[in-house]
Amino acid sequence: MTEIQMKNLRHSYYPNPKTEDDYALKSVDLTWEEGLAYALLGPSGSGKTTMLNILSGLLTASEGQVLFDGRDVTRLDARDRNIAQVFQFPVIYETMTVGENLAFPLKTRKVPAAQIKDRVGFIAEELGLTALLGRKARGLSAEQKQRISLGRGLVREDVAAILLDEPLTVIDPAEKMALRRTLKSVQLHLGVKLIYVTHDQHEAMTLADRVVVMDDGEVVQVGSPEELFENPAHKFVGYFIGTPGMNFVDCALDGSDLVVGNARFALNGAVQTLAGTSKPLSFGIRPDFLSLSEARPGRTIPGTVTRVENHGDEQIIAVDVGGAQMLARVEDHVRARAGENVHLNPDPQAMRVFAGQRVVDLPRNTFGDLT
Amino acid sequence: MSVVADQISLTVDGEDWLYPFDLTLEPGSFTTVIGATRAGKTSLLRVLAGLATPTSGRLVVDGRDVTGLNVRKRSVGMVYQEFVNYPGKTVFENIAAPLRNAKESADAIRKRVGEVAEIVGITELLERFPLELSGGQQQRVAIARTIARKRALVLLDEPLVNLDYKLREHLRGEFRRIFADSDTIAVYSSSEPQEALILNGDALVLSEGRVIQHGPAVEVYARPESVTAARQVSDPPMSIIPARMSVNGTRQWLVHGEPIGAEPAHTADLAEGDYQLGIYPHQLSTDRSRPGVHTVVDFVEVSGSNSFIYARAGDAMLAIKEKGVHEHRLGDAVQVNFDTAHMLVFDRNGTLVACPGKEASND
Repeated sequence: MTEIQMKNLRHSYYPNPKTEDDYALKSVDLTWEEGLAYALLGPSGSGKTTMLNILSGLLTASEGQVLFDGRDVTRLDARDRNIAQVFQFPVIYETMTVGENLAFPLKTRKVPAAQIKDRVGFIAEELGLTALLGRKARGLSAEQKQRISLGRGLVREDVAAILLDEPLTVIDPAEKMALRRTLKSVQLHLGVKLIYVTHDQHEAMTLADRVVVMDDGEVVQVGSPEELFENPAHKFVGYFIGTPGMNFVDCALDGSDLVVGNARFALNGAVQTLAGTSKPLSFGIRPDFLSLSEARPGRTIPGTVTRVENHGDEQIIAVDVGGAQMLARVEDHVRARAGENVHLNPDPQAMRVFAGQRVVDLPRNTFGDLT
Repeated sequence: MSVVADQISLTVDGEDWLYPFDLTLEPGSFTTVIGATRAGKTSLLRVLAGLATPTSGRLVVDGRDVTGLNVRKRSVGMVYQEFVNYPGKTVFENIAAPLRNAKESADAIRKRVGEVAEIVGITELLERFPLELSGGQQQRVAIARTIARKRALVLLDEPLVNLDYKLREHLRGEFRRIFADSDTIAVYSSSEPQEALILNGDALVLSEGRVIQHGPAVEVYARPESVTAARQVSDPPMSIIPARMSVNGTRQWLVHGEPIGAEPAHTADLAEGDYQLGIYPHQLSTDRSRPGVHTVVDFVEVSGSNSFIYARAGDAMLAIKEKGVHEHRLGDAVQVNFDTAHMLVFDRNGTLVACPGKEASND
């Protein structure tokens, strides 16, 4: 287990980067705490792979440092960093047995045979591979092979971190959950640092203790799954995490009121903070924190239902709130139909204001008391 | 134009891929085919398209037997998982290709390409080349080409599966609109069962090569006829739990010997005995203020804006939906409450015997 620090890290694939846009990775300062599972989450092109390669040592960052437990490893390659990797496609020796595959990294490190046997037996048990130890790897399912790939990293007790790059991509959907469950229990039992690289919020939110969200070469937020859901610090996090993503509607300050569509909310303080920003303001709320209610001036947002989508266990209701659309996620028994005039009732504690891309830090009771 | 499958089956290399089934698809219908991987979804679509010749049975279109008729002679379009476009042609020419093959006039082609580009939202991309586009845009081009010629039957084989989920969320909302107000029969296969409900047409449930239920999606969701169908209609699937109807003094449902609350009206006619309860994740909860069935947390998955807790009660695994994202420790003991008013009851053979809105029948 190792604490990993990234200090003032930047990377450009151009020899002489001039503008900010020339950087694939823009200014990262980040500590990967010991004993926690991380996910690096973002769409393709967000800089995930660059970050992963800098972590593993495949790539040396143009600027900044990488420290493992305080030791500068910026220029060391993957092997000297004690990093193990699991890729999309399982990397194993097809002609070897499962047991031989698991033992291989230890054999090359001249670990005594008795110790190898113990360790391989233990890791096989953790991964549900015990019954397969004597089988040739060839012919096993992709899911079983991926367990072996992971096992080849886990057998090394000195491994600093295991990087998993979209490890579930080629796994049959029906088997994905079993593998996710194993990954989670391995994390709990062995406390090894697992770092997932994924574009799939489901994987990231299920497996990681901390999610590092990337967009356009920047780390836009690092937080627990719960924090990212409840307190997105950046519009991208609001949009990318959660299904459907957060609603954003342009809003404006008028005296001590915030005007959102056809609604007006009296602000409890915070006026100066909002008046002080030069960036355009938008109102943000997750569909989960909107309900339908009767009109309550100062509390509700009037609009017209444009679409109702039945998901069985719940419904997504699209509401036009004066030129902009908001989605509400409501229980299956709520009755609403297209064309109907409704009032959206936002939970005051879940209402957020963004200036440009970033959330404005407002007191909890800005939109009403907490009772 | 209707499509009728009459006892169609498909056997490949001695393996049964589709067991004999009957199916009638009416003009203007939208059917979502759901089922696990290898349930036979793609085979079913290929047989309907004429891309695979059934081993037995007849495919009848508008009263005419078209079994074995070359697919080119039929009015069928298909959209695949992979985005299939002509890389050397512009988006306009990609969409126009089937119209040119049909020797339509230049004016007619321009008009129709404009219409379908509008429908799928790629009007501004007509002069670009497919490889300059994102995955979602490329798939729209493929869809536009498929619907450019008015087709009697359009088959969509998991068209969104290779797109990222944000795009999936957006595009699937459009499918119904694309086929609204047309006589086209659309058959759409999906590995996400909830899509059947969202697309709001019919659902056809496949399991291991068998068509096990077919009807309006809301109906299939509310009343899966068997445990096998019940396991296919949502993700995570409905929990199926062994339970006993006890009439010792008062009538009550017992799970693992523990009562699960008041007996709902719809099970009032069931005799004492062993059954299986079917209950959706949102009908189970872990309200700490109420006693419930004792379970142990096995795993927690966060999907979209929900957390799904998998909790073990003896041999049975319960999937419980919680709104929002919450942390739970694996191995924690939790008590699970049942929304008994909405639970389904299956007999020991897995046949639905009671569900809300339809009283039990012991015939």
